[in-house]
Amino acid sequence: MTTIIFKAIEKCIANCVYCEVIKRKQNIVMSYELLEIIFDRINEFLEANPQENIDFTWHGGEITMLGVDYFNKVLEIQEKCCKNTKIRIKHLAQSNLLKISQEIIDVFNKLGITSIGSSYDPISNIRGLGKNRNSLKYNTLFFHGIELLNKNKIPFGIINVVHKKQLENPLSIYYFLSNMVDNFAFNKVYFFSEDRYGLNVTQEEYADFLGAIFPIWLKQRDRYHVRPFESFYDIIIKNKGDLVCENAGLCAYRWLYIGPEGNTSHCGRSGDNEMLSYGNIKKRKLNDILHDTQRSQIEKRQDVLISTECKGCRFWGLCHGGCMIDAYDIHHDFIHKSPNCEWLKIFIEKYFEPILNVKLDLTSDKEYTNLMRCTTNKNKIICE
Amino acid sequence: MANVLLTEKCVRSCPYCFAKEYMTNSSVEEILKWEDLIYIADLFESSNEKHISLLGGEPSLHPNFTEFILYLLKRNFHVNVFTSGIMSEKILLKAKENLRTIDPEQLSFVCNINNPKDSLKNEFQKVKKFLKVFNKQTSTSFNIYKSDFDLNFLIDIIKEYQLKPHIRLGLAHPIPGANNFFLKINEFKVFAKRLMSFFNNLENNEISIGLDCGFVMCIFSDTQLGKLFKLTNNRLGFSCGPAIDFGPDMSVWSCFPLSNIHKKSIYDFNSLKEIYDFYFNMNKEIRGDKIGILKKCSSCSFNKRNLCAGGCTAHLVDIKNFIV
Amino acid sequence: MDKYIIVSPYSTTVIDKFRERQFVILVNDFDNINEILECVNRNNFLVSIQVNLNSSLSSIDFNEKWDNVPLRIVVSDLGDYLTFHKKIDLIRKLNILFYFPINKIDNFLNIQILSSLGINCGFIISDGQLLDWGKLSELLYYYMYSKSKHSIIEPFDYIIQNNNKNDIFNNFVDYNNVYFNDPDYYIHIDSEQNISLSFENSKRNIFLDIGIDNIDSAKETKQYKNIIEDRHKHFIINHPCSYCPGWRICLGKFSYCLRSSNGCIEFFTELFNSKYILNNIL
Ligand code: SF4
Ligand code: SF4
Ligand code: SF4
Ligand code: SF4
Repeated sequence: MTTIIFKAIEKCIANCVYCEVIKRKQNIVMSYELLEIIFDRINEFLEANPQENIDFTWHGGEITMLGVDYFNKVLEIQEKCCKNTKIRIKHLAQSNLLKISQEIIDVFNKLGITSIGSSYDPISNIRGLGKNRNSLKYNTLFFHGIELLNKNKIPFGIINVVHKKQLENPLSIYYFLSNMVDNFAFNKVYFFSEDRYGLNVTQEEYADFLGAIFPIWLKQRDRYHVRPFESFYDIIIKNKGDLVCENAGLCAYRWLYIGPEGNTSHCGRSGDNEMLSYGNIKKRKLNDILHDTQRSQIEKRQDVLISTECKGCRFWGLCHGGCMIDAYDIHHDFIHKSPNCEWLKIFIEKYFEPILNVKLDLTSDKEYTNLMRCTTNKNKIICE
Repeated sequence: MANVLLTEKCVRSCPYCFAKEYMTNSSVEEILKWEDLIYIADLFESSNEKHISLLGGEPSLHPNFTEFILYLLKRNFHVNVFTSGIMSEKILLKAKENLRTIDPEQLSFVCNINNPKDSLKNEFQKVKKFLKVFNKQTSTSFNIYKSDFDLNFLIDIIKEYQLKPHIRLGLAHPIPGANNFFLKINEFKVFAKRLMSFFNNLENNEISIGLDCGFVMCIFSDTQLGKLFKLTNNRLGFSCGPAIDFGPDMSVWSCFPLSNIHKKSIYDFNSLKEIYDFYFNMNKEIRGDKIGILKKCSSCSFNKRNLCAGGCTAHLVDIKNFIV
Repeated sequence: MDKYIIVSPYSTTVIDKFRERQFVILVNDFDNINEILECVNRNNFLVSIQVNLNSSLSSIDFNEKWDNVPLRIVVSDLGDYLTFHKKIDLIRKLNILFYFPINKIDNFLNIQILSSLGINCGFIISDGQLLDWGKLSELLYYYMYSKSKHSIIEPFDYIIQNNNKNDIFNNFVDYNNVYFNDPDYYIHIDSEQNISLSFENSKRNIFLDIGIDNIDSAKETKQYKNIIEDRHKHFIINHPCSYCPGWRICLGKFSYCLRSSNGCIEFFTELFNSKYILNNIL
């Protein structure tokens, strides 16, 4: 399985404080010619690898700004280029829902998009429109979008980015989100560039934020699918389940980012932050990109970490050294552990273990083969 | 069967009163609330107990006396009311209009009658009115607190009013820490003899008796026990609690004499069985290795065979150890 | 969704305009009970007759002939217990749910008495009423944790049933449904054949601009959309209701109470979490 993080547009209607993409203010939309090249490449790859499937994840910018005609064109191109392989392409979508319309939903339907991932922030003026980040307008449009999804019976999930302003009352954030939706995730805020508004949170702060919510979620876990709680709970208690990409330790050959001009990179994060280029898809075959030599470096990272920085760490099975992009940000190379393992350790030690009366010992993957499976679960639509 | 006190108010002041001591310790104004009656009924129902005894004080002084009985009957309980029979015209009329025709299998009264010689005249007039209305549902009860008691007057009343031919005999017990009249252990033999002297009169009138808790076996000869066997309709027992009483403030205790010891809240328990077990163990604990009220109880084979409990626990309580 | 259920006063003209529809008929007395049943069931289905009385339950002259009629009777209180008692056996044979307004404090007890006697009942909260949350919680505790069987108390029953379902598209509970006042299920037609989405709208003459032949298009109307949007208004403005743990059941109905007390939050949270308590989760 390969997941393509597909960015046909970087433009967005919103102006969210922590967005890395929006800072670049790129106005480019992927051309139809390039679309055709990409679907040809996909077809070629799928025909050569009959056991493979592709998750084609539409990221932005804001994908709905591409308009209905654009998606109709995609349908047409896919039909033309991937006649026999199109059933092995699964389209997924990330949208802020502000401009979603019945027409878009209809064309999404034709593409086979049956659920949507979105984001929200209960705190005012973090996500918003225009210079002042008007969240009242943003929220009004967003909830219109939700009404439309409900009407069409399209499930959606929400990612909530945890930042400084959310720390004051974690439970309010949890209740707000759970009142809206059954399926959501907490992600720690990251700044690869400057934290202009003082929104960064420390590892400990983030762990405490999660810890304040965890006991409540635990009671309500049959109703709400909340990451990261659910994956930790499933893996540690139920001995099954999936980890998100940054903790699965298996991302070497799985992901592929394609930007609006055909530039490729490892994944969404690396693409957004302009790290790890695998060249332009116009010039390279999909198979070559997916087997770029840099990827074997990444694969090796696991072997190195388990015998060096992560040696003997009892959280290894849940963490796998974390996301290499984090490591790169600090060390300018990938073969280090992520500093973001701290919150995970604190959360497990301070909250998860005492509350559930368990003690983790996941120093190696051997006994925990289930942990080897990667990552974004298609049924649960949160993809990072 | 457990007992529910509707109110602690009473119309009489009996010298032996076991309830009085308890009652002076709590607010007389306290009456059982509707919500609490429903809670108790739920507890009984979920404990599979179909019998409820209502008592007081004088239960008919509760403003919803009639309503409560009707309510419990509609919930399919068998209701048994312990009353002095002394009621105002108004209360009696309301009770008469609503309760008189109810099947005695569903609703019964136990009227505790003191010897008219020892009580006020107009008190007994009122009792008579009650007996006239509820004769079919009523049996009598008599509390013994001295050894020279009389039962013949009661036999006459039963005949005159055609009451249910049964007398419940209660024994006045000491209430630890209080000063009530009760039958001393050294009077027991005399009492036994006195009781047997009514045998013929009872037998001739086909009136049965029931011995309440605290009577002991070895004060009777084998011949007397044989007669008692007949008089009690083969329901002869020499037991000691726990009786389980619920106060109008939702407190619960083992039985009146022990009401000062380990009074709990009904909400501390989940079922009647839990309550019963708790107080059963408490009684055992109080008795310790004394077993019974007599020295010989500890080696008594009747006790070992559960034929006699060894008298009332209240005789064995050293109140200093228990008063809270 | 299934077709709208029609809520209307007794009018043969309205009823006969429809075929195979479900009806709730509103009346103020018992004069035509059996006639209504017959009339509605001729070509349609009678869901319930709601009788709005201003008098006590005990004053009702119950009739054995109502045994086939689903009745909701709104009474002012229980009235004399002894009179009521004589009617219990007959009431138990009939298909009745009694509603009590809880602006009268005694009705909390009356509801409990009825429920414990196996008679279905419920409570009604008047518009803008400041509630005694403590009393309501006691009733809820009785309803949820009572050790023995008892009849339903609405809207608790509806809430608990629906709160137990995990339906991601209807992940809230609008308990107004039990009052035939849920715009997703009920449509109101008055005696002049005006159509509206709730009792309140009908009272305030807010009618839908659709004909009686066209009632199922109500969901396309502006009014309906306004109602749906209204459900989100608390989130959009970050109102305290949006992060209330009981929102999925209350939907902010008591936000007017928040100025004087936070009792609603505790109450609805308890109700929402009843699921976990009842199912013994953790
Ligand atoms: S928690 Fe830290 S040390 Fe442990 S595996 Fe993760 S990155 Fe390595
Ligand atoms: S202690 Fe035993 S005998 Fe004495 S009153 Fe209580 S139950 Fe009866
Ligand atoms: S237990 Fe005690 S009182 Fe009872 S018969 Fe034996 S010796 Fe007598
Ligand atoms: S319970 Fe109170 S705070 Fe919560 S949603 Fe309802 S009105 Fe708002």
